Formats: sequence, structure tokens, C-alpha cells
Amino acid sequence: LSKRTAHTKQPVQDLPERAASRLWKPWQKWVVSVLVAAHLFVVFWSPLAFNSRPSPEEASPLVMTLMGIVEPYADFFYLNQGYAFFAPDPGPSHLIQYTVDKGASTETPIVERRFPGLHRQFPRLYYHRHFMLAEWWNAGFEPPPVAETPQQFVRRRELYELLKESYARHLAHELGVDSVTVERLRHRQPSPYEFLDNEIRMGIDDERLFEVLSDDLPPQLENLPNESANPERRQDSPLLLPPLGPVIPYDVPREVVPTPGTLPESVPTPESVPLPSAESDS
Amino acid sequence: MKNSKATKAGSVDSEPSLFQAATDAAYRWCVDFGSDWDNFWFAPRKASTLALMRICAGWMLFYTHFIWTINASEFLGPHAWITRDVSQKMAEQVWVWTYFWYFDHPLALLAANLVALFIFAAMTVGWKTRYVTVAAWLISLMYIHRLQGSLFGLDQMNVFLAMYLAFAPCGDRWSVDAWLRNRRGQPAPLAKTSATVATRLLQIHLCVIYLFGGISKLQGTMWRDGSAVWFAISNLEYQSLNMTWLVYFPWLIAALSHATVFWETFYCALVWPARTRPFVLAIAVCVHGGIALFLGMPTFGFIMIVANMAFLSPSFVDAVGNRVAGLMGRKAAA
Repeated sequence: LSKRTAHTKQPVQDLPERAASRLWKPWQKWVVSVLVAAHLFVVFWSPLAFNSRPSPEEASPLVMTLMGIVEPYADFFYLNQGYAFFAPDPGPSHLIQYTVDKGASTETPIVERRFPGLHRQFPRLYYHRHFMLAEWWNAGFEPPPVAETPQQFVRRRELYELLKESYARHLAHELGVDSVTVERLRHRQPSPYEFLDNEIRMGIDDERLFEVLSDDLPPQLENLPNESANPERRQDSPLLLPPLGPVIPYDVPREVVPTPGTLPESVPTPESVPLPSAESDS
Repeated sequence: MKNSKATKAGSVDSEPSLFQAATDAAYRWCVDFGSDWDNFWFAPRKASTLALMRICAGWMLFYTHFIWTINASEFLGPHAWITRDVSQKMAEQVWVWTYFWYFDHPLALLAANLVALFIFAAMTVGWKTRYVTVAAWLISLMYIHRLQGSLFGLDQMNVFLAMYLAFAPCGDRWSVDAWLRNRRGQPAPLAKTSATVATRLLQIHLCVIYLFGGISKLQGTMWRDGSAVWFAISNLEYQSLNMTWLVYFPWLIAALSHATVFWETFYCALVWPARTRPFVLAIAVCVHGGIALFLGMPTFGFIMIVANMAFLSPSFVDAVGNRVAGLMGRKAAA
């Protein structure tokens, strides 16, 4: 490689310094070229793997097989990223609402708060860390936009419960109480119509935009972690999970708080989304 | 190899066969590719741009970890949001390791945090840069692997920059190392090949980040119907400056949404030609400046602008640096 350097078509940057600089030997260039190519392969392949699952049933076998090989390197050096900033859509925020009980003697809550809170957490980076804790916990519950096997689902649910306990223990310690109840809270944005309409007049901090999310599974999924109850399900079969909420149209007049009964027929409710049955797997 | 054997033998009129023409073309392509590759990766380059990036990235690493340090009990301590055992459980199926899994005593955490802050400060000022940049990279990975759950784009970019600066001669300029070298009367370092390799890796990795950022957005309905910017600025938890008045200009919201997707997707192609590069980088400053000012992520916005500095030529950075130094010198003299 180095022998050809002097005959390149393009002018070399900083030519005066170049003459006196320490040029690399050909073998050094070959070694570095191979290492650079291998590294860039991982850099490119990791986000590609995130984007190679167009639906829960489909995943590119080529991408996933090669990703399995480079995974240790990508994981340790934190290259295992999808780079999906505000994507696929800028979705609603997820917060945590916590309630402190006085104790076993009474059920009256003495504290009911939400976090993150801009007024309690400063500077902004500190606030954002709490925001991410809430989002991360919610991501453990909500179906990811990728294929998932029953084992992956069970593991994700275990981690969700572990995080819930960990957050509750932390809050109980901070507040000096015995127990704290934590819940997920979704805060969606108003559509422009909701924001502008004179009757609805929904500001971005409107209480109608907040919704406490349940930890209950849809009925079809309740027995899922118990593999013995579903012996015919293939262990590696992908899992199709129902969406947790209706799709919010952008600029269309609609109910302020949509309920399953008022949804248009085209929007699937959790009950209407079928799970892959044992027959369809076979 | 350029002329066929038949021509050398004297048969002037004979045309090279199709096979010979194809092999000649393939050979020439390989030669050109080799020299282009060589020039792209191994033409020595001054380290001015990397030095500027070192100062900015070092400062952001210091600030990020300063926030961890003053809140160590909340994020790393025995009663942390995510305790050590839960953190280890979360990492069971990924290939990560961190020394923070083995202790959470407040004094031990304080010691570890102070060491980390010292390393990041040394990186910022450029003292023993060759060693502290490698240490800064590895230490930032240790925090990342322990603090899974409270991370976001800032942490990805911190590690991204620390990784490539660890292998770059980024202490050659604007550093304590350079100041000490001048005091000893040693000559200034020349352009280096390692500076080019690090710069190219930064540039290509950044292109991959934007490419997949764009591809991910193309999968969303809001980015395609032009409403995404509204749903970003109307998110109360992100908002730092109220921009909801944009709702009265839906065409502007749509234009910003579409421009963001096009810019991200085609960044990897348009940032290389000299003619389009200034526009692409100017848009980067606007987009990330907007995120910093309006969407409550000044740290993330800043670090993305720092990452884009990889596309500034060392001579441009030198010219700006000399101008600033000249102005400061005049001010000091006055």
C-alpha cells in the first residue's frame, strides 16, 4: 500500500509536514486495515440488526447469525445501539407515580408523587437520568418492536418485576418508610386538534393526557410464562404481542379519552389481536 | 500490463480481447482502490481537530461523571435505584462487565468517582494524554455497564468519542503536554497517520449513526406525515422552551420534520463532498442546537455538535484557533 502513496490522484493534506512525518510500514497498514474493516463491520452491523426485524414474525437470518458472532465485542464496547433517536415516532413519555402508605393501620396515602419532576431534580442532566429510569422500566413491560420468543418475554417480565422492586426499595429508603407502591404513568402529547379546539383546549400539561398503566397482562398472555400449559408452542417461535393503546391520529377530531368501545374498527384492541396458536406454529 | 502482449509483439492493429480489456480494467480498479484507500486512511494529518474534540469531549465526560459523583448514593450506592444485584441480573445475557458490581460502600464509590474525575480532567487539559484518554474510555465503559437503565444518547456519544480519541494523538496541540514540550524546547509534533485513522473512524461511525437514525425515522408514521416535530415539541417532559406556538404553522412543522429525515438519511453521502459539507454541518448545528435549547437536552445537543467537528479540516481549526488566540492575546495586552 505505502509504495503507491506518492502516486495518489488526490493531493495529500498537510503535505509539508508529511514529508518529515513517520510513515507507517506496509505491514502496519495491512494490520490496521484489517482491524479497521472488522471494527466498522460491527459498527454497521449492530444498528442493522435493530432494523432487520420488520415484523414480529420476520428477522433476517443472515443479519442475526452474524450479529451473534460479533455480539460480545459490540456489547462490551457499547456498539450495540440502534441509534433510533426520537424514532420511529416521538412517542408519549412514561413516568413513575409512587404512593407512600402510612402503614398497615390505614390505607390513606400520605404522599402521591410523580417523577421525574423538573422542580425537584436539577440540573437537567440529573432530571434526565430519572426520566430514563422511568422509560427503561416501562420498556420492560411494553412489547418491543422486535420479534420475541416466549423465553425472552418471560425474562423481560422478570426484569420488569426486579426493577419495580428495586425502585420501590429505593424510594422507601429515601423517604424513610416501610413500603412504597410504584405505578407506571403514560403522558401522551395532545394532537394539534386537541391543542387548538376551543371546546377541548388541551394544554400539554392537561391532566386528561395522563394515564395510569396497569400491570395486568391481556387475558391471552396470562398463562404464557407457564410453558407446561402450552406444550405445543415452539420454544423459538416469535411472540406477537398486542398493542397497549390505540394509534392516535394526527389531525382528526376524536374522543378526548378514547376507550375501547369508541375505537374505530380499524384500530385493533388487545382482545382482537390473535396470538400465534400452536397449530399455526406447527 | 496496460498494453496487451499482442501490441508489444508488434501487431499494431490488433485490438485487445474483451477478456484482456476486462482484466486490465479490473487491475486498474484495484490499483486505484489501493491508492485511494491508502490516501484515505494513511495520509498523515495534523491533530488540531482531534485536540479540539478532546477538550470538548473531556469536558462533557467530566461533567457527566460529576453528576454521577454527587448523586453516587442514588445511582451506585447500596440503596440505588437499580441495585448491584439487579444490575448484574440485567446484564446476564449480554457481554459486559464492570468493577462497580463488586462494591457499593460510599467511601469506595467516592474514591472510584474521584479517580474517574481526575482522569477526565486530565484528558480535558491534555496532561499525559496518551494514557489518560485510554483510561477515560475504559472508565466510561465501566459506568455505562453499571448504570444501564438511566442512560441515553449522551452516553452513547461520550463513549463513541472517548473510544476513538483513545487512539488519536489528540494531546499534540492545545494541551499541557504541548505546553511542557514547548518549555523544554522540543519541536512540535508533525502530522501523524494515527490522526487520520482516528478521524476517519469518527467520521464513518458518525455517518452510520445518522444513516440508521434516518432509517429508523422512516419507519414511523409521524415523520412521514410531517407531524413528528409537533409531537416532539409538545412533549412536556422533554420541553425546555415552549415552542408550541408552531402549531399555528403546520407547514413549518411538516417542513422541519421532512428536512430532519432527509438530512439524517443522506448525511452519509452529502457530508463528504466539499461543496455540500458546509451546508450539512450547518444543519447539524441547527438541529442539535435546537435539541439543546428546546428539547431539554443541552448535553446531548452539545456532544452531537462536537462529534460533527470530525469533519472540520485541521487547517480550518488551526486558523480559527490562531484567530481566537490572537484576539485573546490582544485583549490581555490591552
